[in-house]
Amino acid sequence: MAILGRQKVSEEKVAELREQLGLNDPLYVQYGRYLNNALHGNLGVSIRNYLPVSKSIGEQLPSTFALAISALILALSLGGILGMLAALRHGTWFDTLVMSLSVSGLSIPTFWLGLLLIILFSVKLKLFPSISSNSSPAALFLPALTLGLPEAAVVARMVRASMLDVLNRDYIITARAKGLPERLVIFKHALRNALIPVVTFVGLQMAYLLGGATIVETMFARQGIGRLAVQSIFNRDYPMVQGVVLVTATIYVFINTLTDITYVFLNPKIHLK
Amino acid sequence: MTADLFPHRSSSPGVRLFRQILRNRSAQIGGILLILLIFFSYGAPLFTDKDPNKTQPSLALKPPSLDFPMGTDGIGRDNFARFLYGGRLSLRVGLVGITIGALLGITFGLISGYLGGWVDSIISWFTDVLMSFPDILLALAIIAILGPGITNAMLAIGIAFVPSFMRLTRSSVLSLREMTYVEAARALGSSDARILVKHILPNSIRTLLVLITLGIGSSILAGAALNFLGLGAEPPTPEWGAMLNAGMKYVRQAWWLTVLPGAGIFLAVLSINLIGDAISDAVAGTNILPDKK
Repeated sequence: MAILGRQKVSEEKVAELREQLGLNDPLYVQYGRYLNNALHGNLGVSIRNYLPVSKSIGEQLPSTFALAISALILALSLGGILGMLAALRHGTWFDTLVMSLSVSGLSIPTFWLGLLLIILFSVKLKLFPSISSNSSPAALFLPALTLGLPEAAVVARMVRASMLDVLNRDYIITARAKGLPERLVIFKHALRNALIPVVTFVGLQMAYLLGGATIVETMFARQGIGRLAVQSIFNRDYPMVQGVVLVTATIYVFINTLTDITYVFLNPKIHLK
Repeated sequence: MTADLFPHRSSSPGVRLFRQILRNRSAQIGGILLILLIFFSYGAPLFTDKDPNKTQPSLALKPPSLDFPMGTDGIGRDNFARFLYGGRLSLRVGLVGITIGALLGITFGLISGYLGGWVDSIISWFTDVLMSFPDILLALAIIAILGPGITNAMLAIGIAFVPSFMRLTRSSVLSLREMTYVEAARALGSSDARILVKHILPNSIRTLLVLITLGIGSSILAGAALNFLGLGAEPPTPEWGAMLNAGMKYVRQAWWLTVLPGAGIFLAVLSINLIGDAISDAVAGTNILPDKK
């Protein structure tokens, strides 16, 4: 209660607020009420700006989705191409280079990468804004790059491993033996099969990107659900924190379930028990 | 199952594994990098006699020079001293975070996998709940409950790691508890606790080793991220993530305040990932992994 304001508040006012927020009820009653309201789309009211939590979250979600999806597209295209080329040139300097870049990409802190990109693209080259406050594509570029590059490292590793595995299979040897041009062997036979594990991985990464957006949104002062979470923690706006956590976890579980289902479709050998 | 009948009796597989890791090029690079980072941060007084928290506003934002090898920050503190001392906390957050996660996760995994039944159901259900949050969000939610601060940040990171350790240990125990040597130990009258600690745990350790090593890296990253968001170390405590956050204000004038602490985090995590990769290769190369076909 005292956190609501550092200023002196009269005891009556505190009692009134307690009653108003339902804090006098036993915990399980409060929890039941929260669940019931949540199921009806009511996540409570922010104790900072008195706006409905679900409305605030609804306003922020599109921005986070835009960021996560562009980062994902970047990660898949860049990581996919590099991973495939590394597998095709297995054991050469190019392979070593891609793998080294990939380990570095896995180790780089997102916020440091973001800063380096700001210093390069925004301070030195003055190409893109360092604050991503509006929804223009130029403003989306640096945040998407920041979030997408480390993901590209993960994708490159995965595509490379998967492609190497597939290239040693009998059907590839058969395809080559029957004289198919190498282009067809790679694109029609190898890549298609190598992408199966990657496709299912996309779901998991999408969920991970939603979490990573927290840091990227905060550092680029970009609208979004991650920044909302951090701000609400600082503001001790508990209904908002609860709402953001609940919504993000729901999306996360939803995407994971969808991924599991896709996996069954792509690989008929696996059945959901 | 190609598991060795008595893998716990001979010490040679462990020694062989260690030698194999030492021979790996990326482990060598990672190891040297890590030793240097630890040496520089814990031996900080050997390299600088400056106080990392002493402010000298007249010397604010000086670029790197002989006097200040990494320049000074917005209130004139020596960035080199802060970098060296800051490394201690960043590395410690990673280590403590993963220790909490591993201890809790492995204990729950052992109990859950070995006892099965309703205990297993409750523990698995609990970790499933934890797993339904993206890691950083889980850490944020825990900090929202406990309040910001470095101890709470370590605890939050630790808890966020519990599910992965629990699941891995559990799956390993599930296959190990059917082994003949476990049956033999039980027949000899060993208690459940003894079987778990003396027989099952040592045989799961190989699989866990990879997760522990790579986890230290992720834990350092997560700690630096929480500190960067301002939810960890209280100012003026030097810490790489927090330094980076403070330096962001000066990103246009003083690159050294952001680039250098970030490089510290990057190198620390990179060194551990390189070692982790080597361990992962070595473990995959030996066929005494209990849960591999």
